Amino acid sequence: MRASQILNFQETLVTSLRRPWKPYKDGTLFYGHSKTGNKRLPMTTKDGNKNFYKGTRSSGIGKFDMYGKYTINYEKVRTFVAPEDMDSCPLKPLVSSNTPIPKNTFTGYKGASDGKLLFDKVKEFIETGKVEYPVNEKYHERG
Amino acid sequence: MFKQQISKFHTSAVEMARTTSRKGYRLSPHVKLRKPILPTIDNITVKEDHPLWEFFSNGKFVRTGQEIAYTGRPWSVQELRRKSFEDLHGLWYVCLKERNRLYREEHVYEQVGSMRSNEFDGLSEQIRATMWRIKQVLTERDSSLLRAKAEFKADGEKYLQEFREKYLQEEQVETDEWFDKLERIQYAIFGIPDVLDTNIKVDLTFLKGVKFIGELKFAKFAEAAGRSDLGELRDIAEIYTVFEESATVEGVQNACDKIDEYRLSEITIPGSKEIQVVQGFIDDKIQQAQSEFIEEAENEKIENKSI
Repeated sequence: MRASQILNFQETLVTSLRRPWKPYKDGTLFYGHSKTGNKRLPMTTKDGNKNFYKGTRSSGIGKFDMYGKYTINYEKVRTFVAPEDMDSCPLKPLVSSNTPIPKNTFTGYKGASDGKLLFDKVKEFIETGKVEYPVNEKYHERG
Repeated sequence: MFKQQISKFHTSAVEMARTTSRKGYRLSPHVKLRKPILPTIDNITVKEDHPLWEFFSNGKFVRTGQEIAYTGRPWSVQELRRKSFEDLHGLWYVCLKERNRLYREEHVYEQVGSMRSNEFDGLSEQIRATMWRIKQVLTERDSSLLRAKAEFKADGEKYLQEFREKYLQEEQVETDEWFDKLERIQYAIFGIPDVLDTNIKVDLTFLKGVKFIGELKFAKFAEAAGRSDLGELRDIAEIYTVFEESATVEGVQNACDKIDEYRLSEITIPGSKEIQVVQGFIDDKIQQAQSEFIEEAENEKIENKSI
């Protein structure tokens, strides 16, 4: 039987009213359920020893010079490249549930990221140009 | 020493600003002061195109649960495989913006302890599925490109040789079908677009493509053009002149005439200078096209004025 089960058993109405029934060694009162506390929490910036560095993934984009002035290295600065014309994108984040999902087959190939598949596709493109395939439930298109 | 404080019934900002200090007027008497604007919400107008509106759906503070009750599903990987990079790029940012809106609204509901925040979270998770699938498709494309390049290293020469033989054996190649095929092979294998623009950088693959196409055309049409006397093409300048011309007997004839002129100068370009020379040819051509374009535009202007 685990200790927690005994503790739960002891948690009657009276015992919970009499809490805190466990003081720390130095006599200060304990207001938690477990004396050791929940240690399974993500570490914060204040935790860990002197070598623990938890940044906000926002620093380290430059360095200090000998006078203490910070120079930003724009090679290291994050950039977000949005499409030039956002309004022209007709796509929505979700599609209708009624839309049939096309099925892909990769017979003869290892999978979607097989190099031979792409090479064959390129050969096909050179022979026939771009071909538009229809979308429906029964048609298994090659990936 | 101390100025006597005169208590006044009003403490308007105008009066305060005009009071003298040791340095003189705090504000120039010529500045016209207006009544302060009270910081209430009614006195604040936000521009229609303010970028922070992106965090609001149709300028609404929060949407209701009904408004976000979509009967949709995330994009499937199979569907996304059919989309171009531009489409995927656009869709990624559409999803990102929508999730930002939902995060904001979820936070508002959470602050008042409403369970509705779960609905917003659920929708956000669905959109997240679309987003990881976009990443999945892009990763697939990247790794397949890498592997296809390795594949091409092994079998590419064989394929090009086969294409060359087929082209040479074909009786009638001055057709649109074959013109298109040549265009596609130079684009798909060597990355040479059919229309040159300013950001083209010549590299070894580009050079290989020029050589392949140029020599192919020459081998096919040299006899028909009656120019077997030239023998083999000697250097990259000669190959490029053939590459530039159209894939017809006349095109190769034109190129051969230029080669005749070129051979009189008795220059041969060494292999180490080939990239530089081809880049020079392309830059010259683009400049020429640009200056012609400008001239045409000016001519049109003059014509318009005279009319």
